Amino acid sequence: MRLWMCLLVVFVSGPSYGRGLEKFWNHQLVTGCTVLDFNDTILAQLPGKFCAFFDDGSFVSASDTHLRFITKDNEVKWEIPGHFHHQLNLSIDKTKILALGSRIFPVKSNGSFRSDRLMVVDLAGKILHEADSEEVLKTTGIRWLAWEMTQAFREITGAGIEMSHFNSFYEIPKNPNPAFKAGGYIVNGHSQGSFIFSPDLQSVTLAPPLRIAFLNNSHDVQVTERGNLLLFVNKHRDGRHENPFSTVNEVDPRTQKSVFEFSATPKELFYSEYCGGVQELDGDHVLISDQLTGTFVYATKRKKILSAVRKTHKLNNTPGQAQQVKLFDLGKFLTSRGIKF
Amino acid sequence: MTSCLLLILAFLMGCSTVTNMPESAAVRRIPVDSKDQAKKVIENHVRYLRLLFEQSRDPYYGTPKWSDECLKANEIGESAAAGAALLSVSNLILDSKSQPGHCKGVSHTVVMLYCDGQKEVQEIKIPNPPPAGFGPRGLCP
Repeated sequence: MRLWMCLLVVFVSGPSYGRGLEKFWNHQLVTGCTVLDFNDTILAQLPGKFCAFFDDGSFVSASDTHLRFITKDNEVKWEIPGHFHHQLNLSIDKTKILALGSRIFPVKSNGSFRSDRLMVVDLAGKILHEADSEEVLKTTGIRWLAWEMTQAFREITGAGIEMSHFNSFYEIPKNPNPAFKAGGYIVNGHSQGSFIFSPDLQSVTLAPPLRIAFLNNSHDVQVTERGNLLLFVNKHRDGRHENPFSTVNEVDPRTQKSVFEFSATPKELFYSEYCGGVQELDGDHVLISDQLTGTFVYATKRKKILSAVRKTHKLNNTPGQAQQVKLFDLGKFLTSRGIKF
Repeated sequence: MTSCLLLILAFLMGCSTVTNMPESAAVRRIPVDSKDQAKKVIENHVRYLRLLFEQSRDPYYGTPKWSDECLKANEIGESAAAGAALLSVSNLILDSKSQPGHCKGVSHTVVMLYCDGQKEVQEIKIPNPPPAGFGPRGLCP
């Protein structure tokens, strides 16, 4: 009898760690071009470093050498050569591709530099709009980073120094903040601030700086429908400038106050030096991914982690890092490709 | 390694034993209108696999996306004409959903086969080792 009562309680209440997670359970996690479910099952491995998906089974794939559109029959419909990095997104209506590319160019007596090349591409492969970080920095009066690139990055791109390190590129949704005009784009520059672009990428302004992220590393900066900024702040330091730690915040740039903040206790236990992702799932839940340990569904009102997925950072049974992990409903995409899930 | 695969293939096709489809084979049929279209389907398949296993490195740590062992375990065959058939033969590790892109799991022989005059390309997946005498020629009428 007691056993039956226990089973009934478990059945009715469900596992406590997952409460609130039910509505996302049938969605899929995406890291790079790998699609997983919450049970750690890899549903699809696709070519490329970053992918964006369509219901008909086609997808866009970005790599170190190309941006490609691949049909559900695995035909490369078109490709654009170039080095692509950090993330690949679609416009809100899914009719445009937002890609972060690179331009490599020689600088007198200083070898080759890398600048960031923003591209808005239609689904037929036509580049609709472009912007280069050299011009963006000139227009906004922001100094070049002049960062020495890692050995691997040098070998991949052929450049030794980068003038900018753009790491996220999103369309701005409808929102009440006049600083963020819907239909434009927000692009985050590591340690340089976020930039607000017009829909044709021809005009650019600096986003209102956030005290929390100013001159700090940050990733995956997005405008929310409330007119706030949602971002992964990679590196805070304590008062003695030691013990770095990361946070995920939604900040109202008008007041500089955080609507919510995710951090660990003690704070130093949550730290991503290079990468990090955040995604608003609904008015309460966010998806957070750090560099090395995992992906978390976090309930902001309850301040509780509902799910911690480790497999996103351990593909092919090898521990690795994830630039960012996102949640999508890819049911139609998978079905169109004949993948049961 | 690819030439080795082609040698095995040539041997299999030269075998006098004509086999039907092995019971362990999973077959997906892709309709085509012509031999040219069949050729394109097979070439797309090969190119897709090459892109899937394209090596790349993490820009910060330099870690390769695919280990050498994994690339050796996933051997992609060329698209080729063999008598009346167009085909490619690959050795791939497939997951439980028969999808490629894995380093651990069950190795399969994956054949893309078009037989002259037919209106389909067959994608045949057979767990390794394939049954003795199995050869794509035996699969064409």
